[in-house]
Amino acid sequence: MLGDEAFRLAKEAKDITADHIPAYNEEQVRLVTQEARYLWMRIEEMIAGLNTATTAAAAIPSQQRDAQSQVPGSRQLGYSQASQVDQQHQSQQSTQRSALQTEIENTNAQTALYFLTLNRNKRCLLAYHHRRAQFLRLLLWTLHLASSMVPSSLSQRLSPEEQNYARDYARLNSSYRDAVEGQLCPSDSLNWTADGELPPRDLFIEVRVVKDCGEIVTENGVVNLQAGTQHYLHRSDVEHLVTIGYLEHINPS
Amino acid sequence: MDTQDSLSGGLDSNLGLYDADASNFDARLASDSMDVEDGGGARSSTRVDGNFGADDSDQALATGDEDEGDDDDGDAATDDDLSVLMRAWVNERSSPEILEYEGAAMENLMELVDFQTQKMATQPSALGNILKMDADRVKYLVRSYLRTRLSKIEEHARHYIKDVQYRERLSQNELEYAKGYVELEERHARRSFLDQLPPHLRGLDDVTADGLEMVSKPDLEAAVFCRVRSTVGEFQFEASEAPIVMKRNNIFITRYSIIRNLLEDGKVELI
Repeated sequence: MLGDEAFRLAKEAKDITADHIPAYNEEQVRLVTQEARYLWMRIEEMIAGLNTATTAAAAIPSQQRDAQSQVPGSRQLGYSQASQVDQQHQSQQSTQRSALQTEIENTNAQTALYFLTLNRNKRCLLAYHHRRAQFLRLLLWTLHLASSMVPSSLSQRLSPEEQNYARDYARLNSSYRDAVEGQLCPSDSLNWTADGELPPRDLFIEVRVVKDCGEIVTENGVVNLQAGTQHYLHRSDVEHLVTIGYLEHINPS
Repeated sequence: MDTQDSLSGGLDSNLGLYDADASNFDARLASDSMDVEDGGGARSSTRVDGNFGADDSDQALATGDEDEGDDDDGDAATDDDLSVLMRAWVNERSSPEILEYEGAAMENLMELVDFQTQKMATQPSALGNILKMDADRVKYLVRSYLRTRLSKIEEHARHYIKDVQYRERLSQNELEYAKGYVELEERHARRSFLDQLPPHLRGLDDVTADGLEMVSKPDLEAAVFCRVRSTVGEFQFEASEAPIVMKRNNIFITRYSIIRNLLEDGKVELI
């Protein structure tokens, strides 16, 4: 039915939650754009059909008038007869006109319906892609804007275009970050992608290593982060490792 | 006192945005229940009631009808770069539209942080740690401020770069970011589906016959909480209602568009 495909797409956009995204439904997007193209074609056809009908209708009365004048002596048939002929012409014309009128009205209603459906399709497409892009942006922020860090289980569900989008978004952000850091603190970093919701509470945090990270260099020397060990470290040194799940923060207050 | 307590409880949840911890930053955020102004709440539905804030020495000087505050947190302290940025940050997080860029305060602060970081190396470690914490917190503030702005820019990027008034509020970097973002979104939409649509339907900034625009704008009618910073006097909230007296430290909940100008003048702050 009209608009069903777009509705399905909109429903899928609603299925996106904070930690789940369904696979990109290329087929559904194709169906919706296909329907849009078909509807547009129908609208053009209908308008063209209507145009020929109106020009044809405009041509008819003048033809009739010509025919009338071409009949010599039609006036001589007597008043009653002549008026009869006239009436005939008139009624013929008026039925033609009202037929044309209903056709115009029909076409108007139909094109309006199709046009609204078209716009609705476009809206659903926009919403679908917008929601997905929103999800992607949030995901990228938690990954410290490293588009290459997107887990493969997720990147499988993205369209190639969305993967481009993720890369470009990360690039856009890093160029902004570089510009700002260059301006505000040339010799320091803002930890741009650190968790933005909570202000730093403790300078040191206790972490347990979940996955081997090898050795990292901190201000106080080299620390070997072996799986299963526990460390008490500068928060800013290891925060990024906590976010991507290599370390576990013990007793976050 | 009861009202005060319940009110501050309500405010905390409203301030959930930046966590109760943020109060460590700014003594003024902690509600001081020293003096509850009487005759408050009944005046209007928009009036939240109560007298907040620890630093009322300014009003005491200005109007002379207030007790001297028993703390040292005078106005000199509230206008340093940190307070300016704190206020800008809270305002930014609460207002529906993007506000003026607070570039100067931020640059000064980061300079201080840079200075402090250098000093840290020569300090004993206990003091050094405290200084580092301090610097980290300022960095958090700057970061959060800038990122709040970015996310607001993303929300209405198209509108902000189109409108001269908004364009001027963005920093050079932010403007570039906004332009890049709009371009990115458009490219994504085109390649994903717009190019498959009939040519007449490919616009992204159409206006329909009944005035609906595709470009989203900030909702200036959104409800905000605001606190009066310097006494405004009688103020007309709604055209149909009697004017309400806005005294320093009063808190109101109202539509953003109404107090927009007061906010620009720094007479109120959002909370």
